Amino acid sequence: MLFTSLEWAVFLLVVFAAFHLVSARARPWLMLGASVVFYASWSVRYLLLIGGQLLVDWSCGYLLSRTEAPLRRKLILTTSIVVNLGVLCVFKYYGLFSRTVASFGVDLPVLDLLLPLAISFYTFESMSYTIDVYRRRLQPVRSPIHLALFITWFPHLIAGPIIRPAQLVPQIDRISPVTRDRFVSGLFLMTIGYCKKLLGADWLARVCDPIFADPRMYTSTELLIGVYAYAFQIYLDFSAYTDIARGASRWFGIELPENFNAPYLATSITDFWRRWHMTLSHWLRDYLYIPLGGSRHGHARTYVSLMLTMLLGGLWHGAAWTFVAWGGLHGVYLAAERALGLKTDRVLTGAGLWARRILTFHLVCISWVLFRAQSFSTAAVIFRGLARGIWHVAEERAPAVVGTVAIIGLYWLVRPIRRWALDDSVVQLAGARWALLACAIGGIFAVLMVAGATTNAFIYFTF
Amino acid sequence: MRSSTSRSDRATAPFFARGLACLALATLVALGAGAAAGLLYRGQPLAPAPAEIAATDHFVVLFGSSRFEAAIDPERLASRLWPDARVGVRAFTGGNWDTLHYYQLALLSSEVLRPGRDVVLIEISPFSTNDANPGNQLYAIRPRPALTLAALPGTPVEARLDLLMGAAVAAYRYRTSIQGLWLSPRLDTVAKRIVGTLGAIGSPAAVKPFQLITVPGRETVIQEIRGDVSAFTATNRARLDARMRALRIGGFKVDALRRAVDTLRAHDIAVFLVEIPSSRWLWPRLHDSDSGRHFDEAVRAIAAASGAHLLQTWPEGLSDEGLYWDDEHMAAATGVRFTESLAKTMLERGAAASPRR
Repeated sequence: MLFTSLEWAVFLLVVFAAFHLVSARARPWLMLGASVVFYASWSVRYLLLIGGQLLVDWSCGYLLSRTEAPLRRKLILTTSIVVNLGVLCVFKYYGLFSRTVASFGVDLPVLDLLLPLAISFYTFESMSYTIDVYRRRLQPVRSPIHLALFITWFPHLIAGPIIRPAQLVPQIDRISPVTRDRFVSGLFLMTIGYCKKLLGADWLARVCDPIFADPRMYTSTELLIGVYAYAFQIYLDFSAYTDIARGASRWFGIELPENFNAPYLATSITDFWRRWHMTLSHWLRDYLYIPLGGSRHGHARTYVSLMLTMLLGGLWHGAAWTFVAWGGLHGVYLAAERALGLKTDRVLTGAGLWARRILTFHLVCISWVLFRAQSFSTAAVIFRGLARGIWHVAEERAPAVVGTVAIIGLYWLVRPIRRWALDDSVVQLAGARWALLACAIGGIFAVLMVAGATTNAFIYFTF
Repeated sequence: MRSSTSRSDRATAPFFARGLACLALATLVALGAGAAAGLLYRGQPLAPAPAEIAATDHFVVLFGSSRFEAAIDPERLASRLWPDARVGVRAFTGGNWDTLHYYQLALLSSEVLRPGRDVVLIEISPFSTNDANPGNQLYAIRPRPALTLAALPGTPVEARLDLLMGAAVAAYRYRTSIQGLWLSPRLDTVAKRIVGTLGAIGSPAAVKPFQLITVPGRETVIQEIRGDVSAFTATNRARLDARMRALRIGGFKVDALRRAVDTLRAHDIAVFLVEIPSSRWLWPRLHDSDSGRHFDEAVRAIAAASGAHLLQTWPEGLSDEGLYWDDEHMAAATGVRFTESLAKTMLERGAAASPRR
């Protein structure tokens, strides 16, 4: 069920109510049951797949706790990684692999497999459990219920944030009825998320979808607006999902980490990756980049580690070579910044600051063309179109251009509201005046009802 | 002055009951505001008015999608059925409407149509009985029949909630119309003025490979395709292939059709289930598949059980690809021919056998 569906709203309210009516001991079971129902609403069959992977990882964690022999421990860890990555590769990447080898004349059997929802997200989380146990950074989770809840906790199951077991499992033991501050801040987060999605991302989708479908039909200005529209569509869409996930989780006493920190204010690509999908970039750093050597073995090894990490990070996003190219481009950016000493941590001000921000934003936008385009040829058409220098707008496209500028401008104007709304003093005041709060929230949702674009699925649902 | 200790106590005290109250109040405000806003917007009537019917000897009502709109000239049809009588006709059609809409229309119309004198035509096709398209355009559902539709067995939960929400909140029900007919034109005008003032308006980057010229006032009726017709046809056939692969027939949409027919037949109103012909390329692809066979079996069973007339067989000449602009929707001239053929077939089936007043 989509977060923007009525079904989700009813489901969340029912689970919220039930959470507070059952005993404290039953709460983890209720939360797990709700998560199972949530995933089953998409596919009952693939629940068995998640269940199977969970069983393997819980067993591996248990076995790791029972042995000190290095070889055996490595074998157990390898089993977990092979099972998790094997499932991911079969369901997500086999099609890409078979299509690629087919172009070299090698025909492989066709596997008609539906891509399990959220497989990229829960596979990474599941692997992080066994890896952390192996590294002795985490005690194995005694209760399989806690591990299952860590992986399947429904607000974050489909599109993250990618959490570590140490972040969530201890919270399960401490879950408690919702407090005033958690209720209000959770409600604020969810409302902000819905505004971003329905008033921002979904309208921008209507601008960029036709442009990316047939870019030959558009002038350079229209293509540029399409690229900007996509840059903000994906940001608003994904950050909206995270806000809703975090807000809903707060009602159940679960704190999920932030995933974004004003990424388009980054002053370098290195800085961008400290602000964009932070939980993924931390995962890639801790489980891929550092084990590959990180920056500890000289420049050449560092660049190789960076490239490999970003290439695989691109592949994680989708089974298409354009995603790999997107990741590779970011790898090139990061390596170049390091080589040229540009990943600076020094404080910038004034014109220099804004110049770096604008440059970084446009480098990111170039990569978004690869990310969004269906093929390399489509991306090439877009780049050629941008370079053609036709800077007027067809009359029928004026609404799309003005609308995009308006939405992006409005976003920058209202951005401070998020920080203000989540400030402790505001949360406390709103909680004390909860009736007024209710009226304000109701008014906002009435506006969303009429002005919100009809629903598109969240972009990261496809990962 | 309250102490900070008591403030922090309140912050950490359970808030469930007040949280629920807050949510309930917010929901009431949202629904109330939406209902009030919707009162400002008048939706189109979805049944003929009793006075309109009373002024006629016979009344013809059409429930259909864009396929009906393109293929049938309602006034021509009505005049062919009863050339010497006072005949009224209303067509309730909408792009992508399906059997859920037709069930609603049947519930609304059955209360006003006259047994033995009035006739209903319902569009049938595998596309309009596709269970894989559950939430299709449900904003057109009106409050009165919404509960009946929401209770339809097998209807997905989200579709039921959509129906109930639309029934309760007019702004939700009409939001697509409000956006499309009220908000968008105004925003478009402002946007064009802004860009025009900046001197940035110019010609499009490329000429579209094809252009669809519609009949004035009838958006789904194409008069002419200018440009590269083969490019349009190739693109459209790929889309049709994808739609046909996604068909799922035999669940709640067929049930909705059955109930629509039963509702009308229970009032002794003549019902014609009409499948608009399609091109020689599309028709066999649609009907020779598993979904197509399920569809054919289902509509035959409905017609046999209810006494409705099933019209699926048409003269071979109506299959020529040149008569359709997209294999599915008839061009304007074809619609005239088809309407004559439809009237003739209906007369052969006894459509005009009802006594005059």
